[in-house]
Amino acid sequence: MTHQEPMKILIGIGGGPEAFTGLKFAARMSGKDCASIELLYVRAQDSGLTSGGMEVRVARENILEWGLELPGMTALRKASDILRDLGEIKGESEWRHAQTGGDPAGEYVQEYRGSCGGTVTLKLRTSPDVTTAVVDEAERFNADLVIVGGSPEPVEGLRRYLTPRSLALTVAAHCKRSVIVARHLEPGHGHLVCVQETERSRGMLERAVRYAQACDCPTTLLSVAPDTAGLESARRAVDEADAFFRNHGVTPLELLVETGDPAEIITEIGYDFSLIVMAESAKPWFAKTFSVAHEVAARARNSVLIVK
Amino acid sequence: MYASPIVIHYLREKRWFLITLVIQAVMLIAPVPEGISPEGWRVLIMTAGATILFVTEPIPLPAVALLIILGQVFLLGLDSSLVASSLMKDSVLFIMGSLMLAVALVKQKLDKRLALLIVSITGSNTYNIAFGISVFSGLLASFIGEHTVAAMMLPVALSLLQLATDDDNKRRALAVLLLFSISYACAMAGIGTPSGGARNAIMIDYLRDFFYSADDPATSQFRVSYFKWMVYAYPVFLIQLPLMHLILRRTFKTEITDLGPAVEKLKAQVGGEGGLTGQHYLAIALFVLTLIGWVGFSSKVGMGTIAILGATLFLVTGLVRWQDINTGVNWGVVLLYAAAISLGVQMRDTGAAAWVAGLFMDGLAPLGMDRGIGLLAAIMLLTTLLTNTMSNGAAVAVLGPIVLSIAMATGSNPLAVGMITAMSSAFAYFTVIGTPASTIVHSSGYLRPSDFMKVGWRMALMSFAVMLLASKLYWPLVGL
Repeated sequence: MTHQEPMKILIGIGGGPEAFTGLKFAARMSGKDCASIELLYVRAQDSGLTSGGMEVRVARENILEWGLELPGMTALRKASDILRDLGEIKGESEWRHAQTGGDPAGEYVQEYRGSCGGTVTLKLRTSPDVTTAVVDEAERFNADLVIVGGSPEPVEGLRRYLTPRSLALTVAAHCKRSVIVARHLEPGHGHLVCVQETERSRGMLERAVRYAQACDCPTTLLSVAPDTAGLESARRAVDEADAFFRNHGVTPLELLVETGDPAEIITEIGYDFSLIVMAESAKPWFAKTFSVAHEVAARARNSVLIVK
Repeated sequence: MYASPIVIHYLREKRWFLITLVIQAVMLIAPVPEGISPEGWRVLIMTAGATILFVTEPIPLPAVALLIILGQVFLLGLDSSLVASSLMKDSVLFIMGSLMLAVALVKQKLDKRLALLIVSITGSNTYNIAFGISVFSGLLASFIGEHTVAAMMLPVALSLLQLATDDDNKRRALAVLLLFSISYACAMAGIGTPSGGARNAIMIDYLRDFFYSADDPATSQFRVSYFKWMVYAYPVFLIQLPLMHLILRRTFKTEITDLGPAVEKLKAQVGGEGGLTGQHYLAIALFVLTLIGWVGFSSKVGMGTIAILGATLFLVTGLVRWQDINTGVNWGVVLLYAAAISLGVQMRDTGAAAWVAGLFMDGLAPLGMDRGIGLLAAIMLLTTLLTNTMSNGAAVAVLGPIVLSIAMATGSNPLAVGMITAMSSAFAYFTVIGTPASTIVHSSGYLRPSDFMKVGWRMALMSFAVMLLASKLYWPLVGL
């Protein structure tokens, strides 16, 4: 593998407590790879009719004049405190105003030097649409990896069809960068890399190796054939992936080949791992819900990385 | 390759706009229903589209206003000068002036003194402070608009929260109590006087436009004065205020029942700024003058004129900069209200409002709710449903012509129907976007949408009961 730039990890804070679990994982990756980390908090832009014609920025400016922190700042500070405890942040920094788009009174940035030379940036943004802002920020930051907090427990049964898709799943569907839908993201239990005998799956392997190397996580390879007729293809996919990993200095712990419903089996086996790693579906965004990768992301009780 | 994601994002963000266009196209192609003129049907198509766009906001709201203006010229064939002149009414001037006043008042930093005043009266008991915040928020919001008061009181509550505890759970429990004490008090108080909210000014304009004739002295009751509105509405607000507090303290219990240390820290922080300065006294004097103007002279020169006068005085005395007003007011909303009211007039003129009112009545008749208290309850319910999905001003702008047509068709008192509609548009307790005050306190980050649902139904039940009792027992006593 050729020399690569240090990894850039964008973590969306504000999507719920699960996003905070991604911090430890990002810190672990950063330690090995000297990654740059950006913590992002997006506030829905609340102006117009809902605020009665007076911009909410007037209230925000009043809060700042009292010397109080804006709510997004509090969440970002909590996240940065966690990174500081993990040894990822050095020194002190102040909030500075930085208009990215949206409401200027709501947009602030704070930058720190990371412990091994990377940067840690806290960013507060406002936007009419949170998903669009996260996707946009991933592009601006040129992120290799986006971590967003998923719902702690998957939505099951009839509720799946009645409740709107979670923000994490929407970001995963729209973002062009690799996305981790984080749930109880504890590094140390290894990666389950799911492969198929397809070009998309092969294309994912390089990144899967990089992520495994960066976090120094043990890797297991899995391929699921929908029926016995597909078993041979599944075996070939696992063998090919095994050879690829070994060629790049990573020895997989275990090679698994299973038969059955792919989403169900991957969710079940993946339960014991820190992260389930899957290639992005070739389907368009509106049909991604029906792809195996996004179904696993929706149903799994642990974290899922969709590699783009 | 590159166009595809852009198109996908556009389609995703604008989906409700595209759905609206499809619905409007289908309605336009469909045969005009019986009982309504083709012009009336086209007005209804525009109203349906505007309502969907108000609720979903897929395009900038000023663009909705511009579409309404364009629709009146191209779809209804009205003269553009006529459409332009229908946009500016006293209620629109009032909305513009009161928004400028709102920004001007927030910028005076009187909130810190207000905080000291509240805690010096209430002491350190948490529930007393919550009630004190409600009383002060409510009294102020009944005159100057809920967004102003919410923006002023939010840092007061946030300061107390930060000083009270470092425990996230305890702080959130306290936050829910204090923040709802602000937002619901503001929402309820907005009905108290005509200047309490845009919805009141809009309804006053509708009542005058629909029913008042200078040649007919019997219609003078439909020129509702500032004082008369207060007589009808202020007691309803005052009765609700303590009931609201009881509901809040019952729904959101907090472990921190004494805020003594936080209050002391707050006093030390805020007290260090010294007493009121000349600038503060001038700001208070201008505010009081504006109030006197509204109560004493708005019947003659219009509420909008007084609001504009107040804002102008703040500007010429240098108490506020134009840049602050310019960036703090969403001018698009003023344009939107203007366009919505203008569309409301078309609803009446083309008979569209009467036709929709007829449909509504047909639905209510089998339930026996097409007259009397049943009708008022039905209108209250309809308004509550709509106001929880869009701003209360927009809800009144959309519903006003319809409910007043219902009043005419059923022989009900239009004034009572109009008052019920304007007042129940304050019952937006279920959603964050229901009232500006809720949006502002929600921006603190402490409240969840589920909190609004948890307490909202109790609040709505209480407000329904108070409103119905007031209309049955109190209003007849004051000649309504």
